[in-house]
Amino acid sequence: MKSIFILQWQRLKRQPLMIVSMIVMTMLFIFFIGGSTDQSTIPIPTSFSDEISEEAQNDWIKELNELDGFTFQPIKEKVIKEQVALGNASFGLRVSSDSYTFITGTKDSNQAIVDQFLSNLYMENNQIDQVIKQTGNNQVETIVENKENNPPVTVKASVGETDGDFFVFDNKLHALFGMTLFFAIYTIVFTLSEVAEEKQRGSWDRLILSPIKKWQIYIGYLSYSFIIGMTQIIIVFVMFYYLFGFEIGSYWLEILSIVALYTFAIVSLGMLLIGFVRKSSQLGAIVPIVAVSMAMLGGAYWPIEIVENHFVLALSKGIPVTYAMDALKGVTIYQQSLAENVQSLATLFLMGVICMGVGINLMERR
Amino acid sequence: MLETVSLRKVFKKQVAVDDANLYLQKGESIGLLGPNGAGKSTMISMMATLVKPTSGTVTWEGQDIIKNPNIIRPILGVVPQEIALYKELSAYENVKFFGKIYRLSGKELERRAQEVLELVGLRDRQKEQVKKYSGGMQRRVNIAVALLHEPEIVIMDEPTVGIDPQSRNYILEMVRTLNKEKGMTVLYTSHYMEEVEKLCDRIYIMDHGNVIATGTKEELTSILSSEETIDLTLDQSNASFTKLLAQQDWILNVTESESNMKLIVPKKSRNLARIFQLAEKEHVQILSANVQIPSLEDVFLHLTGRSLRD
Repeated sequence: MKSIFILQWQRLKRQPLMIVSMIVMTMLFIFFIGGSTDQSTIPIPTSFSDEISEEAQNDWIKELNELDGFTFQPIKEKVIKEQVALGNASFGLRVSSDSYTFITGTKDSNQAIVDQFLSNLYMENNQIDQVIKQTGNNQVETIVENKENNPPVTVKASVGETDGDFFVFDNKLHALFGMTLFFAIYTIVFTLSEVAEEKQRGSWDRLILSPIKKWQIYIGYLSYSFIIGMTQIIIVFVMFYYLFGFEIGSYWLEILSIVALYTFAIVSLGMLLIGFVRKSSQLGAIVPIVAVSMAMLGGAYWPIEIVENHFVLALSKGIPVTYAMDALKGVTIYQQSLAENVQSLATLFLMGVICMGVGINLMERR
Repeated sequence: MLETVSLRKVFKKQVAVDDANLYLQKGESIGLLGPNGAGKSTMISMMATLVKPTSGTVTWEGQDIIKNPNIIRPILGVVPQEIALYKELSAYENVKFFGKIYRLSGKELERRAQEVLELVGLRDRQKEQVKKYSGGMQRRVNIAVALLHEPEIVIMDEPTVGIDPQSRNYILEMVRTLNKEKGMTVLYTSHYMEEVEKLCDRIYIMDHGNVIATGTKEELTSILSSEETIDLTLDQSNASFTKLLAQQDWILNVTESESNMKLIVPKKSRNLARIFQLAEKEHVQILSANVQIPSLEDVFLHLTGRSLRD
């Protein structure tokens, strides 16, 4: 087992191009998708009615920007309409002192989040105005603000499952997780294809005739693919965290656990694919189809939360990428613990066990 | 003794080996001869415990090795038809890896590695990557790996396919040395008649999954003791002349290759005269005629009706 494991590293040393190119490709795609605009928030073009003074507009913008994940940018209404008409923005906002209006071009799930936030904000402001009118005390707003800053009781709340109506979208992190998980599929399955090549080449027979046990041969290959896959993912995460300032947070243990289970699931899936193909060259045709489909369905390219088609959503439940993305975002964006992601993690493990069992069985039957 | 009894292998509906009986005694060199697709590789895969037979038995010293493959595996060296090596590694690294797999280590591993590399004549170039070697050199490393654990029996599946004559001679000499000087038992498959003639004590001829003849070279050629082979060289190929020859009752077999023809005829006088008469009738010019004692190739032709390399 050790000899086979070491052999793979020896061979990698002689031919490192595939792994290096996968890491470079991952980085390029993350930059392209997540870092093309240096912003991790969604811009909302915002105009104000004439009754709101320029000074008041600044106060509004400050207040609006308290909504995480969005940046409200003051722009003239005419420009907003042009942007929406040209498709440069899916919607814009017109703020008046007692109401707000959306200028909508296309349906965007983020509009619901902004709507909910504004609705609460206006309701709160309205309540304060009512109290001022009834009490005649102009200091009510300051009192409320002080109470908000120094509450008598602190309630800690956390966001649990995203229910589809509300989610926080961080473009940078999404690209980082999505692209890294996507390219790791290629690396893992292509390193595993060595098993199929061994069988074609005849060296598998040599191993079978030797005193080494068959399970030791499998463990040698599987452990190599597992470690190479994990290493690739962790290298990319570490680089983007330390060199490019992606805000992963300090949840490395949690991230490592999720990545380990995801890698296990993909290694097993790789075995299943190898079990189906007759020649290693067939893998070259199958892997891109499988990897791209899984990335699309699993929400590696775009957030799965914006998908409404029930059939596609049902398909995504059978994809390891879905659960890994869910858990990674849960840990880094929603600050969830591993226990809160246990369902995703258990599903990844289960997928791994099933695919591995079926895959090895198929290979042995041949 | 390694022995197969009524060995049969069916892949889906395709019968690869059918009721094959073969034995191999210690120190013997056995040739398994047959054209591509005859079932030689399947036969030796079953004997090497790599493929389970559909029916029949394979025994080593009377023990069933299909049920207990570990009886024979430690003393078996298999040289596959493919180059079963890691081509991005050097010959030394390949040999060392397979040595470790066979639980050799330290000085013993180093000693054996150098011994087999010396045997295949690659000790001086052992640090080069296998992919940079010629086809013949790659085949030699392929053999070296199979000899590393000093097996008692070596099964070689067409080890000289697609290589230059120099490397082929080297390999043939090596196999002969292993068998004659080191007492290794050799099962050698090939579709090159001359290799088997040169190396093997006994020969099995396979065709369409069946063992169709067996014996020493002399025993096999005696099948055609009452016949002789006539090789003709014509000025040019002539279809009607070939047809005419094939129609003659006294000609047992006619094969044609461009302007050369091979006829198997009963040993009689006047064979040549009759052939020349027919040639004159068809206005064919015979440039040369050579009467030969039948070879193994002729035996194969006689038994199967086709040439070994068809």
